[in-house]
Amino acid sequence: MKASGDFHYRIGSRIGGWRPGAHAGLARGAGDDFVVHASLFERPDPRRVDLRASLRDPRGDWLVRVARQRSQVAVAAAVDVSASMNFGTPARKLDLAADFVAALGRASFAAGDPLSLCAFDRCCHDDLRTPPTRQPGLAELFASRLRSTPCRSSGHDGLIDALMPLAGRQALVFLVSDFHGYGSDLDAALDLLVRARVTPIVVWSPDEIEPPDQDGLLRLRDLESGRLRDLWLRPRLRSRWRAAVAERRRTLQARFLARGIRPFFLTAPFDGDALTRHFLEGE
Amino acid sequence: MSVDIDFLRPAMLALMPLAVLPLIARATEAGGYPDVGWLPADPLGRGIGLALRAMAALAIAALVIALAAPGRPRTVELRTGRGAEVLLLIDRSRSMDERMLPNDWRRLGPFEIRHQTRSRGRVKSQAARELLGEFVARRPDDRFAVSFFSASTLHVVPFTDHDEVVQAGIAAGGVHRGLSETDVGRALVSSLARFEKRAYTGSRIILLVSDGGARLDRDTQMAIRAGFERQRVTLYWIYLKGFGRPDLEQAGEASAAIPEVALHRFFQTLPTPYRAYQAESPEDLAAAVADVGREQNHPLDFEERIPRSDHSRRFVAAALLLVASLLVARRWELRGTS
Amino acid sequence: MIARRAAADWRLTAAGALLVAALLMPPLPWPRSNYDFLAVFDISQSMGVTDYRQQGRPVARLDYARRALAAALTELPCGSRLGLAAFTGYRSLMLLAPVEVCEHYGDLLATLAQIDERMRWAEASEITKGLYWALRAARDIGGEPELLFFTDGHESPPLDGPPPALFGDLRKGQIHGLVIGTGGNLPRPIPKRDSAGRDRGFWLPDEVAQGRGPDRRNEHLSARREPHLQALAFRTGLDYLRLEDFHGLSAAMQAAPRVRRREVPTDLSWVPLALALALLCAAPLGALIGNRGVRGSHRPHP
Repeated sequence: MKASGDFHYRIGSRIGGWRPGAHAGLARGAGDDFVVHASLFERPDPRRVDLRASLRDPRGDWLVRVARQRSQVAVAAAVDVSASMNFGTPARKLDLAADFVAALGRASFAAGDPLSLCAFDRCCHDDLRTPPTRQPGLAELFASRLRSTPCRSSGHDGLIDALMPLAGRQALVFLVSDFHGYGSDLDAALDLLVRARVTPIVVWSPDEIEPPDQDGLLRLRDLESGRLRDLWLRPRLRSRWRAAVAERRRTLQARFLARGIRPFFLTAPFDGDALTRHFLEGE
Repeated sequence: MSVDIDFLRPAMLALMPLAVLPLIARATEAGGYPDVGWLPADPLGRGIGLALRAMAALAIAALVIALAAPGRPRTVELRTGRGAEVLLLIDRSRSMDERMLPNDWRRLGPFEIRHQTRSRGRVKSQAARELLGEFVARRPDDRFAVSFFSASTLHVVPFTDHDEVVQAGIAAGGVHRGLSETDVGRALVSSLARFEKRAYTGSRIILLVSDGGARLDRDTQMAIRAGFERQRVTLYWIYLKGFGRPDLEQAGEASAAIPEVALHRFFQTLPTPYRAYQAESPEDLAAAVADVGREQNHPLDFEERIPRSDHSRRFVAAALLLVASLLVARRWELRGTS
Repeated sequence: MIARRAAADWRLTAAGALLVAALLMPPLPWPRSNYDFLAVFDISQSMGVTDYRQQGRPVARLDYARRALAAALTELPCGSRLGLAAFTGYRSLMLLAPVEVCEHYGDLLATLAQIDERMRWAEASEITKGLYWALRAARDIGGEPELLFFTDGHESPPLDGPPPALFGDLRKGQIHGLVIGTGGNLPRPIPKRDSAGRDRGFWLPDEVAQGRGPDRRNEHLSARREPHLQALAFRTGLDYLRLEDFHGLSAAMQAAPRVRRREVPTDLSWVPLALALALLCAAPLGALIGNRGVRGSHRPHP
């Protein structure tokens, strides 16, 4: 069964902002999310007079229903295009990321939220950046440009710069990366996003987490540092490999959970339903 | 045995730094991996990988050395072989340009012989040169010197074990006709002096090839006798007896007046071994030369020039072995991570 | 990635094949420049005149000529050949057929050392005829080597009247080479040596054959007779060189028209070796200096 390429995101908490949208918000306005009754003097909106409540009101005021409007939320995704994302056959990890970005474009269009996209590696890529937009085509275009990105440079120092426009804002932020080699810079980046709801998309290729079945000499070169590692693959080493992957997964999860963030682990192929479930479970 | 090594192309050794390339360069055919720090450390794999790179480095080093062409330089070794020091003393007088009896002379009538010898027989000097050339070629252990004589003695090739030079000396004797006079006495004295100051190594021979004799005066006879005695040289005289020329073994007092017989008789009084071969036809000459070859096979201490021995092939073979091992090792190399 | 590994496999296999080729390869005939010479030395009495100087010492003409040739030999490329002959009386006599100069350098020097007045089989010095005989020798020895005729040009007995005509069997220009004028400009007395090589003073005017004219009464003195030698060279189609220093002889011997292209068995195994070395070094060298940034894509190349 082919995994669905579409997903829906949800935001667990109410969000601020006046612009009407699809998410539960804090702003009062037109909506069916009742908050409180107010007197017509305070809220001179006769359309919303609640007759039944007015009759029951001991003071005999005309009461008006006050509701929260549904708000939109700014959605952003920052995609790691460093060399390590160049890994995986037939689909590179960056191709998986592109699948996700395209799906995000469709999801945000469905929700009517503005979506901004950017890419980073050693620096922030200005040529790979879209301003907040509701056009679905732009995300598709961005995804296709990701697919053709060669991924040459190493590092992820551009992460902070890429996230700077989102600093302190309420937003739904997707950090798309394999999170290899992140240190305190990840904390600094997450500090920027205190008011945002962050969803790390941890892109790991199946080739990366699962050792080859064959026994023999495996010569590997770090895509970022160029360091070499020669492994003599055998059952014992294979189990150590898997243990190392599990350990890395646990560490990463613990690190994010300390900030109340639940990462989503993305392996090929991109499974939208799983991501939707991830959001549902996060309620 | 020395362990000297020299290089024909020492400049090639400047390429030696190439050998560190496999050690320092990133292996391009290694599969890329996002973060090797994540993977478990594997001393076994590390050792194998290091060994493979060391093999590649050694292969390059062996190739560079092979390119520089190492080898043991040319040396001289004292060897004991069977052979002799042979001085070829060849008459270059004009009479040597005459012809010998044709090979089938026995079947010819006495009248025909004279005529046929003029037209058909081999030229004496040419037949002698060819046979001596073969003689030299068949005796690689001997050291030869080549001298010609006429009025003076032409010591052309001093003792050498380079057969090619000896042959060139013999061949030079065939260019153009001979000279007019002969002085075999002077030639012998001068040739005996060639052995002077040479270490006595076993067996010394003067192979005199001539077609005529001479009556030697008393001084010359004494000088020759003293020379043979001091240098301990064996004398072989290959007497190319022309048609109608005197036989060496003629008896009688009167024949002492014949120069050839006189010379033969003088040689017989020498204190050192002497043998004469009378050759009338090329057949006889060949038999005489073969005879000399059979007789003189004494042990001989000689300095053998050992030519430069090239060792580059060993290094090529080593490099080949390494490359082949690397190729075989690739069978256990996994293709990428997929 | 796959293509890269295939290329690496191919490189290793090719390097191995080249090494096998280098091991099995016999020496191949390969054209190389070298030279063929027949050196003829005048060993007549006048060549004993000591009018050269080397390191402050007087050196006889013949000695100087032999040393110059020995020095020039070291500069000839291997595969070159040299034969030796001597001239006295009216004849040049072949002593050593041409042999290769590198392999037999020692033997050539040894034979060269033998060419001196003790060889002299006749006392006259008819240089014109001697040169003709030398041309014959060069023609008949095979390979038509270039002739190097070292002489001072001192004819004895002196030529009265025109020099003898070129032998009928010789053609002008058939043999190339050099007439090498040896000796100084100033007429000097000729040392007299007996057959054992002992000095016996100098030749006196009435001991030598003098010319007929009153101006030809100095035949007991000898200098380099350049006009005579130049005329001889012209008549025979040879070049003329005045022997002044070792370098001049070497340069004249290696002049362009004397080059022979000859196929010499040559060990060319360095060619496959160098190629194999290049193949072995290509990948690591490329990784080191070239496309450092390119990280192998996992995608097969389209």
